[in-house]
Amino acid sequence: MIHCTLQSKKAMMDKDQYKAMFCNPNWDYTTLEAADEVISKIGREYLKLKTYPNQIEIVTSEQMLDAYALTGLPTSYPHWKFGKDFVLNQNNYTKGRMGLSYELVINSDPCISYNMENNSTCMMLLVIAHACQGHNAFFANNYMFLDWTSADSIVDYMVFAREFILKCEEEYGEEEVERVLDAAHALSNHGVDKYKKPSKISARQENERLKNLATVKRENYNELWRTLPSPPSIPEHGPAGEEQRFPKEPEENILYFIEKYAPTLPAWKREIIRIVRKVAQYFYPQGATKVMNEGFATFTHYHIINKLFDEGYVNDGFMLEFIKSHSGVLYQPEYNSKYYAGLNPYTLGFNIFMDIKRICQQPTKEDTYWFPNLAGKNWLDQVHYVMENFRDDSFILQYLSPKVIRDMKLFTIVDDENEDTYEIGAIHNERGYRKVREQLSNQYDRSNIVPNIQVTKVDLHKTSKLYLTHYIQKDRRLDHQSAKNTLEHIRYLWGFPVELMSKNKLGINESTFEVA
Amino acid sequence: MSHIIDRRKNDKGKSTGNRQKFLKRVENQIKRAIPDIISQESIKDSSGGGSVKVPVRGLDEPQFRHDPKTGKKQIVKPGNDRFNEGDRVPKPKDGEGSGKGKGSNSPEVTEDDFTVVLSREEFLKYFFDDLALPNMVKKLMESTDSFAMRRAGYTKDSVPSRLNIKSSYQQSLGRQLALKGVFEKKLKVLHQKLESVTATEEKETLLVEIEKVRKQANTIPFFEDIDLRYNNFEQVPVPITSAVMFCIMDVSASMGQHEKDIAKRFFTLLYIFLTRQYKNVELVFIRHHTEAKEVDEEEFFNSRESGGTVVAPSLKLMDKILRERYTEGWNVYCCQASDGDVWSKQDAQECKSIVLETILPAIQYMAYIEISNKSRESDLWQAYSRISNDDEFAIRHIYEPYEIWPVFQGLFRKRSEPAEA
Repeated sequence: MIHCTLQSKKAMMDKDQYKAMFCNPNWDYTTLEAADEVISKIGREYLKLKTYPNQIEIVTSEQMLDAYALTGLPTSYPHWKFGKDFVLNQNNYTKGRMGLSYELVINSDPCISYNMENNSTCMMLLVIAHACQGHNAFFANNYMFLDWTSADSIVDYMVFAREFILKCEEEYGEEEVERVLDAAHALSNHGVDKYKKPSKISARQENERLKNLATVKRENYNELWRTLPSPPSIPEHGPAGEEQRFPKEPEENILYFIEKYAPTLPAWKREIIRIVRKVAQYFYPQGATKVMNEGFATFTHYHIINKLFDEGYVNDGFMLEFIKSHSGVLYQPEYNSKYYAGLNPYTLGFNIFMDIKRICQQPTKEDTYWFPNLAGKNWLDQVHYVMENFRDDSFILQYLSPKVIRDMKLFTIVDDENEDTYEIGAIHNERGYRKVREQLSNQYDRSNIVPNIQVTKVDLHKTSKLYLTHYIQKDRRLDHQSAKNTLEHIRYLWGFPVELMSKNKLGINESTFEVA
Repeated sequence: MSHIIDRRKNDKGKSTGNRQKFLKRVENQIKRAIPDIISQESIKDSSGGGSVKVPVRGLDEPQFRHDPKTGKKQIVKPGNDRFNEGDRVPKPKDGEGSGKGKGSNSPEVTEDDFTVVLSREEFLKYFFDDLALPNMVKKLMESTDSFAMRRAGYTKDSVPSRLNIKSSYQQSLGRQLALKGVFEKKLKVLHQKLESVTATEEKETLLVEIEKVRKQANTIPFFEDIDLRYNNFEQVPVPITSAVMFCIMDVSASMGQHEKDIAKRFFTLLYIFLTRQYKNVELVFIRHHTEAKEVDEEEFFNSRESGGTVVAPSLKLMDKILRERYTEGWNVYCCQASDGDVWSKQDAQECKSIVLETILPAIQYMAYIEISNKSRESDLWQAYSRISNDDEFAIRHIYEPYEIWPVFQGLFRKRSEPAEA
């Protein structure tokens, strides 16, 4: 008994010490260590989060700008694009047009997060809860990230990519390397296998693979053979007389197709394309889970900080500062406000997650009708299930509740190019819920942003011409200028003429772009 | 389990390399913008260590994307305060924002006012990239009166302070090895002999001999004089990096504010350019109306004077200053600005002969800038045009600010032929 009271007394002491630390706006190393310890504990025990180990880095604003330019990756291959982004951000930042975020976190194991040095203690705690618990857990558990990325090898892979590109620059000249990168970047949205899960390959394996390639080449090197064109990797004619179509099925991963089948592309250019493709693939889940990821991280920090308060780690002043920041993050201007810039993914995601919890705990009649599987269940289990198994479009389609639609007063506008006016398609009423939900889900579907373009044919007979097809959806046609410019890049990589046809749903060709 | 790392002490220049790549990409645009900068902004400011803003365009990274004007789109927005299903809302006219812009989810940033801020060094690099001072090499070759010491291998003989320990030790090691080898060979032979002989007396002498050689072998000196190596230095001529620039300006009544401003810009440009080429640039300001006077910079550009114009005294004054202060080892440049009005033809002739006979032989380069928009050639222009040859003496017309840069560029464009020819 005595022992027990002593321990609880010690805990009390500790708590007071923590409180003193956390409520002092100036932090030091010990504060951060304590914050990380307490917050991890709450995340683990209260929210049952499974995370990667954290690597928390304190950075200055200049370093944050550097991190922005490389989209958070600790290193990347050299390219002017990153320099442009840096200059752009720097301009906006120094002019006060853009603030820097409090943190930046990347999907890696250990999970690296950059925290701004000028955050107050309260902000540091919020950021640690948000990024190092929320995002970290999302990266470590969401199926998109598990299937498409390998968090343990991305940093190594980028080191490899950097070394490889530098070596190429040395050997083949910066300009040539830049051309390949420019061209590959133009197709980075078309470099992801959306349905096939990629195989995991770590940097070391990648290096091994390259070394083998080089050895095989060296061993088989023969001056005579050098003058011959490299054997085409495209399969030869099929059974006599029968025209074989290649590829057999349309290929949506244009970068992969070029890497694999471009007739005259040297090996090092193929490798560069591969690097761009791998990086695009790494970032693909982030684009597809923006709402969920931010929503879940916000949901996490909200619960953790409130728990801190409930357990007496922080005082009222701390909470006031927290609430101010938290509501700032969730600020959603209305459609006619001059600050309106689209739906705030933090708000949308947070609202949906909070509503899942509410439906589990206090379902209304409406909820039991809409979400019979949620009502009355354990909210934490459900939140985990959702966090692990969905991405933005399916998440919204499944869990955007009438209450959230009502709270946010969502409505849809139909913008038809053939009409002089917009039409209000649906509003937050009984008739509109499903429509709004479906529409919003569509809005986060990748095909809404990235045109559906696939490789449909290669002329195997004479010209080696590459045929691409754009499948028109919702009458949305391609922007001419950018399509032309992009096609030029494909022409450069493919090495032979390229043609792109836009086909509507009847299969009728609406417009053709061609680069001879 | 967690690591907390303070990165603030680390380098912040992670993006420098990529920024350079980016600048290279927009190099042409930056160069094209230079005339604008010269004619619009005060050059003084840009040389004062500040930054220069260059608007940049066309950094498009093309990707396949939808034409925002086409198709049937549905957009979900928050905060419905007045609409009901089926309501019709007029579309904004073109120009009021057509889908793109603030209201849309488009992540693109408009690049309309995308500016690059260049540091002073970068600015100067782009500014004067293709330009060179004429006749600079000539003087460098001729004047070799200042020298610098430069490392040039090793020598066997020098002062102790220049002893190079490493190579001396290498020599010593080699010598020791070589000598040891010789002695060991000797010992071997002696030992063989010792085994073969039987007479005790001979044995005695051999043993003494062996002992002697062994002693020698054990006492090879660690350092000998021949081991020592010293750092060698040689004298190399140092190019003269001092230049003096004479700025001569007409401040007579006919030179208005506009003319003076053009002159000032031109002088400033020349000054910045010279500071890039030479470590040490001195300026001499001479202004003249009917009489010439050496003044300081402030007075040169700002104070007002009036009166007629006699040019020759200013050239004489320049010659005098040149001979008094800048006799040996100076690269001398002269830039004269005037509206071309002279009091008399005689004055113009006198100027011509002074320039030809006393000034040009003593200096590197002279430029005469006539700031006027008159179509007829002035007397001074006529006189100078007979002796100008662009190599040592160039004359140019300027009237508008935008003409300054092309003229400047024309004067100092890198010549293909070597200057000493």
